[in-house]
Amino acid sequence: MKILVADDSKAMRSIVIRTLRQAGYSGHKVIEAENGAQALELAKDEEPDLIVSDWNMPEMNGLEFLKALRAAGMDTPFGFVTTEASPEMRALADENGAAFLITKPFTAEDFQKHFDEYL
Amino acid sequence: MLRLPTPDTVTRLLSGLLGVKVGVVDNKVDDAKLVVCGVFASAVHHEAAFCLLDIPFGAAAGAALSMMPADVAKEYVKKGKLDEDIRDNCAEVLNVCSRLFTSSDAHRVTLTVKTFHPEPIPAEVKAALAGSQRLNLNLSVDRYGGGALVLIIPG
Repeated sequence: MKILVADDSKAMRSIVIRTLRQAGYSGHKVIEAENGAQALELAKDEEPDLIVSDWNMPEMNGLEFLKALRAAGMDTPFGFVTTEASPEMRALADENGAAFLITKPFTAEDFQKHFDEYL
Repeated sequence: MLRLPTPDTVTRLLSGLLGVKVGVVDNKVDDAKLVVCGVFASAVHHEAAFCLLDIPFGAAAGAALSMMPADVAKEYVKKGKLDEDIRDNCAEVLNVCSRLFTSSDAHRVTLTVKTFHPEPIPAEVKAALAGSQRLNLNLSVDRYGGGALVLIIPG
């Protein structure tokens, strides 16, 4: 399977990928994007099976990315991994079709709880 | 309403983020050495909170975040400044520290400004070092060394 990880922090993308492995999701192809716009293009070109995205990113933020993805007719499972998680953000994520929202810092168990359904 | 965390909350969050044990050594901090700075905005204030680090803590946390060898942190301490490769990591540590100023997810606190030595810390942050609520911590990061972290709520 293919997982798209979008985060403007290279360090955080590495940590997400490491945590995916720690959670037992080895062997999947992981593709990376450093902003929402790049992630949208990659999602269209590569058709990943799961998208894990930060919320605050330059160019296009995570919520705009999710909205653009759905507007393009793509229903790829999509989850946020983000520092902020106010009730308003959770509601917006939910309304726009996000499957989950995980807050940083996270553990391998957090990933398993949300990813088992998709991987 | 923002508030300062307890030292235990700080070490738990940082241990979770860095994947190694983070402990409190003491509360002795030299303000002149706080040269890495994060400014956080809330819904009502552009400068709602500040987080300052010294080079040793920035190097230790930055290196631990992406499991760089501990020697990398030591080299940065000797050098006295953080280069681009570790600044991104430090920025992510500052970003996650935004969670320390709220007791729940009900309030948004966002990292808006980051400065790294030799760039001076913003004047308002320097001013807030005196006369604000602050938490001073001298922290150890297992295997990586450690240094100072200061959290401030101005006003």
